[in-house]
Amino acid sequence: MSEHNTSIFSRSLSAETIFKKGFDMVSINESISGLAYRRAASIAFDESQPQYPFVAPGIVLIPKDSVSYPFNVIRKQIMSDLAKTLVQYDPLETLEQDCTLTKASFGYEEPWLSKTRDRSIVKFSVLIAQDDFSEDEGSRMEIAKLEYSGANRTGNRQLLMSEQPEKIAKVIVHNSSSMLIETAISRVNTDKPFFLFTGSIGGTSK
Amino acid sequence: MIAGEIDISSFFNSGYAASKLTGPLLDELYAEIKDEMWVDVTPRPNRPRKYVKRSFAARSLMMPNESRDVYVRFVDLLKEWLHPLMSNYDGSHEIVISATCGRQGYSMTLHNDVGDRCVLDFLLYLNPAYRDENDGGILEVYHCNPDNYKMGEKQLLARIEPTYGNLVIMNNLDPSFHHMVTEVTQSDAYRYSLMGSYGMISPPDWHVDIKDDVENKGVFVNPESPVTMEYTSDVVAAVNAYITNKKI
Repeated sequence: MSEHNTSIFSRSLSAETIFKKGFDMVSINESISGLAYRRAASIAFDESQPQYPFVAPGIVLIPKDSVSYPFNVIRKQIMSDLAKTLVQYDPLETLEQDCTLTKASFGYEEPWLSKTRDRSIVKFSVLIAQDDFSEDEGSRMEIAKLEYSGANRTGNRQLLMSEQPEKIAKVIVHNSSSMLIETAISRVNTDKPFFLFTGSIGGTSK
Repeated sequence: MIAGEIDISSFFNSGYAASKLTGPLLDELYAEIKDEMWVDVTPRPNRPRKYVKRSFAARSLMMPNESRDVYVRFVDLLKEWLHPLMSNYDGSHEIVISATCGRQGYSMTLHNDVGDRCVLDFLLYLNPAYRDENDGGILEVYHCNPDNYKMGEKQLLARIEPTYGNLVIMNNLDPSFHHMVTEVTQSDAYRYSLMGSYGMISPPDWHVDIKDDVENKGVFVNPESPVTMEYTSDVVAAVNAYITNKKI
């Protein structure tokens, strides 16, 4: 039995693609997608009954050693797919960082931002939903590439990716070491929430 | 001064950015580097990066994060030039600098330095005797498969000649970018350069004596007075005497 057949991803993530295009995306099999949604929904986002520390309303911090099933399996698969590249930096076991789980409810959005500051190599985002989203429901994760002239930004932003959550969870890994790559979440225009499981590989943030 | 602005697009899209140092500082750096004491450094056989015929200034083996003399002014200038890039990265903003010298036969095989976990490497060439590419020692930058650069297709991105005053910074964040140095063919070559790294994620304790670790052989190669030393302790004593004499 090949290793490929045991993967929970639709295919292996490619480090070459991440660094050439700025990101790579795969989907998670239906069974794990469903488990991920139920697990995310079971985590209390009520600040009076915290299961994990809050970093902001609707966003909990999951310490790197407390990532539980099925999120630990998802992270392990990401590390495994990219292992040949990541070991060039540091031993794999030292590269994992704390994760966050966000309940993206009506009105939630993240502005365009380059994620280089924490010195991570790549960052992953897992989009988790119970159902597919329609066009007018927003909630898109977007990745863009910036242009510079010399040391100055030109203001141009080339959109590389714009993805909505679906019932089948999506794993998006982007190059977070390049100043040219920015990510954003467009405004959530629906009452049905989705969840965002995110983490850094190789960064310094706690 | 360093000519122009840092080309941020080139740094991320092509793995390097180039400029030129001009003015009196360049000649002062050359005068200083020629006056260094040199130690041949032999890399461990099991290291993936292979280079030969390369020497480091003895002082560089002591505390490379503490620049002295005219090097301080170069480091300050470099930091100012790199600010638009480095201001986007947290972690140490320490510059580690070494004075190196390659002789005839010096070369470096294709590799990257992402394991150093710094934002960039830089090179300033101080080779007034360099004539043209027939003299060798050309820096070549490649785009490779980050998973296995030995098996994948390589795309040559740039050939940079070690012309006096040329300044190159190399992207040390993206594992796709590799570099190598072609063999120096010029006879009696002393290819002086300042090389270093900027923005290590967690710098080592440079106060630890690293000379034993680099397995130096203690061969001083200043052209005027070559001296061979057999023991590391002799190197340390010589360096200390040198520093004392220079009142550093």
